[in-house]
Amino acid sequence: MSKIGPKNTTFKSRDEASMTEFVVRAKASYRKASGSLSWEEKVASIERMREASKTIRRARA
Amino acid sequence: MKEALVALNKACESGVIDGYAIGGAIGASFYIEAVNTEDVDAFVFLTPPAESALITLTPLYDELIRLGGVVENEYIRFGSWPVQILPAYKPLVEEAIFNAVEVLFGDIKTKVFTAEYLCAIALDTGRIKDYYRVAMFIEQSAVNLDELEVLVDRFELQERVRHVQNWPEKHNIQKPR
Repeated sequence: MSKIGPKNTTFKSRDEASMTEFVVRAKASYRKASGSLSWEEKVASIERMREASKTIRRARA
Repeated sequence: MKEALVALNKACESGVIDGYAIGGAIGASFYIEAVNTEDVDAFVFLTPPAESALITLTPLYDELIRLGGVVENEYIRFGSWPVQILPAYKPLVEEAIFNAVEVLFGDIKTKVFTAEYLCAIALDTGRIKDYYRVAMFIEQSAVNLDELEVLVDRFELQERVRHVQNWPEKHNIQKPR
């Protein structure tokens, strides 16, 4: 499985436009990579999301 | 999730259920990018026992417990996945199970709703996250809008499509008077 995420993760500046552009690129990159995932891989990623959500909820409690 | 699918397949083979299909967010993830969810929605065809017209989930729960499931509130857990058993409770869902497609989850055969039925059921359920799911199908060109339009029309979901932000203009359906 290829690494999901934009290749260029450095910012020239932290202005809003640059951050927005980063988010758009990150989303496009994720979509492109996730489109090639099998169903099993997508379900595995949902399991990881669930675990991350549980960790966050525990930390907040 | 494999354990749950194996158990559902065995419940089908032993005749406890007449058929099943995966829907909800897990079913949708077959077609579109994954979205976080807490459970697996398994829609099932149940046959009422010969002596009764009432449909009961008890034989299916008993069978799934025998196959390794653990009952937790309204779910039955297999491994890390809680499975919600949802009987086919209306014609739209019955049709969706009947028309479900056979797919593989790893090396396990299972059935998943078609993209069009997943969207129609999401519209019928009508929560914000369901409308968002339909929008994702449209955005990712993962649904045949002409086929979905037929379902929207047949199951009188015309009002619901107004809640889908990116519902295409040409597919705006007028409710017949």
